[in-house]
Amino acid sequence: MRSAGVVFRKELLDGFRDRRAFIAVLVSISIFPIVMLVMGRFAEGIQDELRNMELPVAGQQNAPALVEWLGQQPGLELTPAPEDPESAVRDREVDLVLRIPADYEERFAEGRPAEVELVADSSRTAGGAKAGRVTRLLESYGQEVAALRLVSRGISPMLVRPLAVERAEVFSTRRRRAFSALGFIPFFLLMNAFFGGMQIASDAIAGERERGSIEALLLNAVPARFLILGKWAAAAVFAVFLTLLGIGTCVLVLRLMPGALNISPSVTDWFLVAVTAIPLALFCSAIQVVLSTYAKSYKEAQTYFGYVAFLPMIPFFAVTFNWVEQGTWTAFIPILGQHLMILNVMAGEAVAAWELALAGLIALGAAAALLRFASGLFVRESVVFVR
Amino acid sequence: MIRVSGLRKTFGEVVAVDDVSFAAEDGAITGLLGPNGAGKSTTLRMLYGLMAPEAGEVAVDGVDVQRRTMAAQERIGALPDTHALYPRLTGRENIRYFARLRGIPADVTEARLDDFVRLLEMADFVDRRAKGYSHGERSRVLLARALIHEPRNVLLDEPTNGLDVMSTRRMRDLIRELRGRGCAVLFSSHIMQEVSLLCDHIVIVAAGRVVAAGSPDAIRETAGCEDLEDAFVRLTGPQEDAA
Repeated sequence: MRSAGVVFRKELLDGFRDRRAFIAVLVSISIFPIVMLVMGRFAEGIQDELRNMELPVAGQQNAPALVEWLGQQPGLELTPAPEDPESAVRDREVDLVLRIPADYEERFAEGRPAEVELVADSSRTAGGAKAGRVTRLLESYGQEVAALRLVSRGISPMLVRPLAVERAEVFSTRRRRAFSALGFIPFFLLMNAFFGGMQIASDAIAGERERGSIEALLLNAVPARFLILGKWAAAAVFAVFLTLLGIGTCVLVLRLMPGALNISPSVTDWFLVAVTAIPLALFCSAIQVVLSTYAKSYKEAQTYFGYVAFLPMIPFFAVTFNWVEQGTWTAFIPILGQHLMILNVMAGEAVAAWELALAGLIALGAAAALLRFASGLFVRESVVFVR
Repeated sequence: MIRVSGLRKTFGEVVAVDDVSFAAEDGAITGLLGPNGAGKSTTLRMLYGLMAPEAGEVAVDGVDVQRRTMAAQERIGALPDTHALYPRLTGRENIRYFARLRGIPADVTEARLDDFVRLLEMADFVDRRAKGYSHGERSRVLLARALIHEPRNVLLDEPTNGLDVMSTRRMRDLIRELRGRGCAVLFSSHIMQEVSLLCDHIVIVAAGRVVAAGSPDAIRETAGCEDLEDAFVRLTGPQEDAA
């Protein structure tokens, strides 16, 4: 055990002197704020544009009543349409154009559905959102007209509305938010936990083989399990450090941009998040250790990490697209369980202490098994000498 | 002292080491001489317990390497043929790391480190990171690192490979000094002159087998040559050039 401590201190020192490790730190703490900032700006920009939008209308003279009604809507300014609406939208000169055909008045008068055309490019977020708003406006104009037509014939408009659908939502607002944009928080933290120890693990194990320094290291009458334990501990310390740094970043971002996610988790919440994420960081570092032991070189190890990089993304997509039912068993699958727990904490749900403890123990047990496996692999002749 | 008997190791079809037996006595320098690819490194790797022989055994001071690898390694100081240091650590830190792994008290380590810095003239570079070391600088640090626990049995795999004249001399002096202290020194080389200059006992291997063993004089006699180099060439056969 003492020798594991020696290895641990040496690898930490080595890691601190490795510039690549610091680049990893910088990247991992900056991703979340950047994503939040960009997303926030983007959403705000669209809201602004919707609140105060221009609507080019072609054929205004064909439907004076409709045009007048539209002109009265707040935050909507009607403008003359460009010559060729289709190419103007395609070339992004305007976001959308409303076209009123010449036979509008005629059809309207005969009681046939009067066509209007909305030229838009739904591949653009602003275009799609604006088209949505104009469509809703046109529909409500249509309903108004329909109601007037019925009343003029002595029929109550209520007759053509046999159902009134009301939705009673049990998914709380905080929870709904948590499961949308908030999903970035566990995703970001799990990425840190997953990749935090990568640099040290690959350099200290695969790099040791690549340089050929492993042979001399294995001559020192130190059992392989202590060497692996020390190397893992150094990687795990980095992973835990980056995870905590990530939590700090989240706290800071939520404080500086309170409107971004509309939640304000308490100190206890963040503490629970840390308690959830730390065992996972230890487990993920053990995965890196095993992969690095397999790899013959630093680069090969990085390639393997690429193969498993999707692991922390699975829960993110699984939750976003509702692949998993939230049940007790999910809490105990490493990575997925932690993702859900962090999400629940963020959503203001209670997380049972025993669940937290059991999930942590399972992650640690899995880490121990992986390290045991890596220790055997590390001194295997074919691993030490095949280069 | 190191006793090797009936060692055998194959890699697939290739027989790397075949029935190799010899001894390296205390207070003597034993040279393992052979052309490249003769099985010297493989033999040494089995001696320090990193490779398992298919047959035969190795005992270091009577401790069986296969069964009690850790106890045997405690009695060995070795310089493997991969001459690698940790590039981001200084020379001193590289040596200190292994001393700590061996459990040597810090004050003892520092005293020995100072001795080595003086003896191997490392003062100019030992506190610099190992990344920019010249070949000679690196090999001196490697040597100090292998000897920091004052082992009774010293195994050196091609220790003078690629060294300049001054460094080679320094290495020779140190090897002689280890003998003076009563250590069993075993070193491998493909350079005849070096072995004949230093060794009390020579083991010549070729194609994984011991083809001759004895004092330099005895070897000359076996081969029927006046010159050791001629004897070497005659004994190792037409495999590869050996200088």
